[in-house]
Amino acid sequence: MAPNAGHPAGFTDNDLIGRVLLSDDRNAFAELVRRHQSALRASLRKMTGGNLDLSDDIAQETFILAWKNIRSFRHEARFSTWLYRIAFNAWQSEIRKKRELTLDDENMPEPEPQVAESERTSLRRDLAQAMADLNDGERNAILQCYYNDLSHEEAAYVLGIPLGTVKTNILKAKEKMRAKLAAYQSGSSGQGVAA
Amino acid sequence: MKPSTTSQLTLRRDPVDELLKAGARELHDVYIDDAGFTLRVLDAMPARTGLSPAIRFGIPFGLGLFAAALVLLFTGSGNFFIDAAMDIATSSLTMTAVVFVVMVGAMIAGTAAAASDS
Repeated sequence: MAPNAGHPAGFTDNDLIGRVLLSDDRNAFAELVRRHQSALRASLRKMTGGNLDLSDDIAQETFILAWKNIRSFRHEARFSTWLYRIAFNAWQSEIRKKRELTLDDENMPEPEPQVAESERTSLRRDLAQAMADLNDGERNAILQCYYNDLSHEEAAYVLGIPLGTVKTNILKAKEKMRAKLAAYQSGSSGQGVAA
Repeated sequence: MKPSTTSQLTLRRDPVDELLKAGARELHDVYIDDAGFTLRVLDAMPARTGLSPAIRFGIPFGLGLFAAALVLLFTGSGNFFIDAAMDIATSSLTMTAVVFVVMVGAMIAGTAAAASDS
């Protein structure tokens, strides 16, 4: 049976959540998964540095956690924002697990060839280079506010940090990126950054 | 009025902001095909979402309190707990002591079961 059977696109997320809450409607939840899987997986691919398997595993875990805990969804944020919060926590948990297994970074997710291949455009190359020097807090704030298109308040909710910290991290990140990009642009002609 | 307000704004645009927005647009333009992802999630989902933690904790507590109220009502004048404590302290195997022990045990077991996610 198709996962979205019986649930046309006209239903809002809240309608579908209501069906899940009322009758554990798996088809309604499947429709929620179908709607949000692309954005969530894309976001996780960014977080994991392009590790497709890991990002899909975390995405799957995110939806299962959402299914188990949907009764705790209080509509204080959009459903997608709530999903990002679960996904971010799952990703942080994954990082902690890897750090427990090994104290060095050898097993940390590394960008995969798919990303390297897609980094043909100067835009992506510049962005990747500029983001490389950000710390975790700054990078996470940028990811949530720009790539996940969240407001500062929503990013604070997802990351579980104060709003002021999000704003500070965004400012610091942009400041660093501005300096980095300026350095690349001034040195790119002589050093061939794109090589 | 200055005619060049727009161009001044354009000049003031933050290049980092523009770059990030362009990167985000590029990301949003890409749709990741489901390719069986939803079905995999459905297969991995547990059969039921279950009761909320508050309800799972509340049921044994509520039943325990209800049982205690019934016992108090039928044993008269609220001496049940004192009588039970005395009986247990003196190792007397009275109905009051047995009911008290079973009631407390049921509350503890029920709460422990509710706390576990099984």
